[in-house]
Amino acid sequence: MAELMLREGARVIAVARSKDKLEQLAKCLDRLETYPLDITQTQDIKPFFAWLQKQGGLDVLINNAGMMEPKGFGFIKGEDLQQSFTTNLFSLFPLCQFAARLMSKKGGSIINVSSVLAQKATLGQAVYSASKAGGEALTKNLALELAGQKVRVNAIAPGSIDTSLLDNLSEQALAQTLAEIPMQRLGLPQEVAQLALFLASDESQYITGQVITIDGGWSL
Amino acid sequence: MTNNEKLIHLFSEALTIAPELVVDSLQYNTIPQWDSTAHMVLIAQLEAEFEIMLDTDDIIDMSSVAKAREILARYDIDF
Repeated sequence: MAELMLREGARVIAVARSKDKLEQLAKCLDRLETYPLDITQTQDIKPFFAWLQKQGGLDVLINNAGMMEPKGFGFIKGEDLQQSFTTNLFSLFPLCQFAARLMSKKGGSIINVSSVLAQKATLGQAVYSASKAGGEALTKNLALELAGQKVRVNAIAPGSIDTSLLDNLSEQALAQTLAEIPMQRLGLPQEVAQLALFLASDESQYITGQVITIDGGWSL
Repeated sequence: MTNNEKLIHLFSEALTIAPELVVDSLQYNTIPQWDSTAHMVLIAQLEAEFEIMLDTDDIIDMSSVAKAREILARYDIDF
């Protein structure tokens, strides 16, 4: 996503927990700026947005952080819930609150990266699915609240995309997923990035509160 | 423009009311114009004008013009 946005001329600030990974990314992408931040640490979010405010504001926020640890329902512990919900859902609240205030004057676009699993039941994905479904509900509610301030809020629901998030899936689970995808392949990160670019741009200025699925037909 | 004048101007703009109506006793939700949506617009404008980021507790506490001045003072805004 960062690569595509940069190519389109945007100023892009990549945020992640790992300073090392951010530095590696910045070496590959010219003009990319980085900000190390663990979004699960609520107290660290405000200083980030205060910094953004000093940088001149914010036009687009893409909430792309996520964690997936498949587990049978009977094996889910309280700490699993806490970790997944904090990363996939709870963090969206302060991030969107601060972003909405920065965007309030001239409008903006918030894009929450959900998952096709928010609406599709899959064995072992109860926690991930529930947390992402919460994010989709938040997207719609925020879109309603922020429409008057010209802040659009949408979600992207990717299916199986060829990223490290699939590392936790067994070979068998991956093969089964592929067999269920009518287009018979995994999605590419750049295909999701193109959708994010569309939702970030004025090309989608009348679209808000939508969850757009990109899954090669998996959810059909 | 003094900070107090800025404050009155921002309230007037965010709540779409005349500046004369922006008095210390004006309270949240006591006029139709100061609803939750206008409150967030007000907060965004205060943050942009005074270059601060308010804590959520302070946003919730900002229930009157007088209270707004009191809270902003804690962010080193002099009145």
